[in-house]
Amino acid sequence: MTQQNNCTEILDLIPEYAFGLADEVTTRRVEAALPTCPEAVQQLDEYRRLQAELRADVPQIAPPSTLARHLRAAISADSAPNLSTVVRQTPRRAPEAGQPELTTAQPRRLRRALLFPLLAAAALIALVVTNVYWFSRVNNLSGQIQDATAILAQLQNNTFSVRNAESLELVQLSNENNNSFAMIMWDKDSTTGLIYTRDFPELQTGKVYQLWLANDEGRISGGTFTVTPDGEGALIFTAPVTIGDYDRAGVTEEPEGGSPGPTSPAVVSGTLQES
Amino acid sequence: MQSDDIALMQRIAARDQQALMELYETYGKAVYSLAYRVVNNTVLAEEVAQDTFLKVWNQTARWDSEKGKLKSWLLTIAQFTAIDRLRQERRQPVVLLDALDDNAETFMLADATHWQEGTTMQILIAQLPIEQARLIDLAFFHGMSHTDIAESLKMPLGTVKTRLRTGLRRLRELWMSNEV
Repeated sequence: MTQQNNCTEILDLIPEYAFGLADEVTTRRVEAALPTCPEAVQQLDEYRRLQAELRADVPQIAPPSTLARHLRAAISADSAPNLSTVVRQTPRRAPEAGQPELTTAQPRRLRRALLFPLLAAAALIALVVTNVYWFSRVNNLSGQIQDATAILAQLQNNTFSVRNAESLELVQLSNENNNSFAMIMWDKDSTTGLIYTRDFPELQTGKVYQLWLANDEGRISGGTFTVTPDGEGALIFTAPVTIGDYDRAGVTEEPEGGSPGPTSPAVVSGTLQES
Repeated sequence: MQSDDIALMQRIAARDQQALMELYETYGKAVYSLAYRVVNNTVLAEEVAQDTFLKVWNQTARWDSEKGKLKSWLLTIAQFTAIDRLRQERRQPVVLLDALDDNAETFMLADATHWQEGTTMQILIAQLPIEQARLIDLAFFHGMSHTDIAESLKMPLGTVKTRLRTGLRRLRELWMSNEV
């Protein structure tokens, strides 16, 4: 095979090689040919930059506030010496110059004379070690209490409530091709809303309904829910920004666990801007 | 910027906890967003994001500033960590066969303006035939092999390979022409 033919063939394989989809044989062939095919090297570089773009260009979602705290706790715990290390690293005191090393062959009086300071030192070490232990336990418990408080706050934030009739926003989602109907309601300044559905088609096993909210900045999943055999369902959902900041909502049928984006026709959809 | 990143990573190598938190402040959102894009679950995404930064902290992954940007490197770690996690959880995405039928395609394309993420790559991907876009999504964001995809979609292996290759080539062309 000529170098030119070889290069042409390799160019054909570059996409799957770049995306890590090539099998072992193909990988070896591509890697063997790369040094003689500058065009393939260039394309490979382009595909890698394309991958970097794909990774960076996903819809941006603010991480939960607990992530920073958990990360800080993990690196703090990682940096602190653990108890076994403390015990293991307690230096054995070397005999000072001119001082005899304690061995079983030493006279009993000498051993007894050294016994008290040794016991005192051991007690001191034990005290320090237990203090470190209890200190770390207290720290852990404090962290757990903080976590529980954060979860509670999150649950409280997730509770759907409306301050008064004036602040209630209510929109209907429908589909002209079927009788399915949904209502979304939320408090004007709230990031939490409620969707109630009626006459939705019964779900097959392994399927759920997924709520989507969209605006010019992107689309988010509001969460998944199921419906009764009569097509009734409800979901309290929370968005990163107030619900009114979204222009449009829709519900699609998705695999259990939800999808990154809608993969089926909308059962109902509509605008959120006009109530 | 690159020099700032180098200095930051040197501080992290010297076990400066504040430096790692600064790295998180700068790139945490991008890492979490990518993790979520792959695992599609907030709890798992949080774990993946934390694992990503811990790999940096524990120096199990090392950044070579000559080879690329810090953000790209971090996102690569995040993606692989997320895909590994997805496999551990056996949460391979279920592929809807009916998502590829004509009806779904009509919906996806007709409704594209409303459902678009508004980001460059998503707009480019939307220009691909829907089955090619779906294959790229499964292969790239969910780490599925040709064989996994063929089995999930009940599609001949050769068809998967051809469509994926064509889709990737087309996406590269669109991206290159968009870059110019």
